[in-house]
Amino acid sequence: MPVVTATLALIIFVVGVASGSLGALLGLGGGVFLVPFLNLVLGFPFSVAAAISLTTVIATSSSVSANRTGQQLINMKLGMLLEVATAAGSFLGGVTAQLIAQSVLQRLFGIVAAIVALIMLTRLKRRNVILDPSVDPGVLGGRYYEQESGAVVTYRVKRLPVAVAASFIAGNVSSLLGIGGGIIKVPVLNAWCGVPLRAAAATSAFMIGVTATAGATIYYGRGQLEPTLAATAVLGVQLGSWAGMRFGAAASAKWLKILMAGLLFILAAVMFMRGGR
Amino acid sequence: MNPDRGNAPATSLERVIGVVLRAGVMASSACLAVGLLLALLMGDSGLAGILLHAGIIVLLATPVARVIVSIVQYASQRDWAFTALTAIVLLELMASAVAALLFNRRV
Repeated sequence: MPVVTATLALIIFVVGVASGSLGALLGLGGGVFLVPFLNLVLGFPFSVAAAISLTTVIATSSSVSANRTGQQLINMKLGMLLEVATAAGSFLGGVTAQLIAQSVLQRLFGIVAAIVALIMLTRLKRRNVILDPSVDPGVLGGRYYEQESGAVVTYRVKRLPVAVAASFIAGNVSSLLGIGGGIIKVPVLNAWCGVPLRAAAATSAFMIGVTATAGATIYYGRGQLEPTLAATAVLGVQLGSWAGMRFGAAASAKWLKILMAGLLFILAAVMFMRGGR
Repeated sequence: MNPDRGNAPATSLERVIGVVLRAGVMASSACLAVGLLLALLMGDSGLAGILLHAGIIVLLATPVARVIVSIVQYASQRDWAFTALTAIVLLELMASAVAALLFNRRV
């Protein structure tokens, strides 16, 4: 367990602000940036880094979802159905993370970061919206006001088993690696299950609080969560994601994504090489 | 068909969930911020530790509270399928709390 000093707390706060704002700009939790920094740069054991990151995921999920309620963007029914799978995956991941060697986790993180970068570069532009208001969204579908088209749009959920499987895997990866797992769910929900991107992102952000809680509770009980550093990271990420949401609209999304993908490839390579030793 | 299908009850659920999440975030951030300040200014004092752990426990409890509120809401709407699904999510969260306690005892 790392020794807490004021300097270390300050570094983690600043890194939290940076990963929170990058995360908010890109529609990710900041975990994908926070975990490698804590593990590789500060030299924390992987489990300690993942535990801190998971607490920031919970805070981000709760505050983002609290601000979004009332906009009909979060598909509560779909989210709660998929939470059954994601919480199961996350519970199993939290238990098995204690049995897996740090080098394996680092390599796994490298692979996931590379996939995230690839997805970011080829992000699907599929919209999935039905403009006809008389279409029945079904039990799991949804309806919300879309700013781009200035109309109420409807969508239906397709291929539910695919969404359930993706949620289980996302939950598992989440507690193993200390990330939210939205990066797996959002593209799957958007590309195969008929959910528009904004609704998929909002629903995923809503779910990751439960996902991360299952994992974080296990790390906390295991004594792998350093409360002072977790507090610093949570406050930093909260400030960062608030700032990211404020200024995100002004940034060029395309170049931001290319920049991030490049950064993630580097991260993936470094993580993979560390794991290979 | 009715275009508001499913939306009216969902809105009241959304509102309640919004209140629960916001209260949880505010309470835990306040505990963590004060605890952190105390820890940095006065070293590892007992109060700082209590506040930091309280902040983390409130943070972990917030999604659990959100799930419990959802179970109550779905049950009061007699939507038994979703009452059961959200109850399963609660059981899974309880399972990780039990696993955490078991690990804790062993360490």
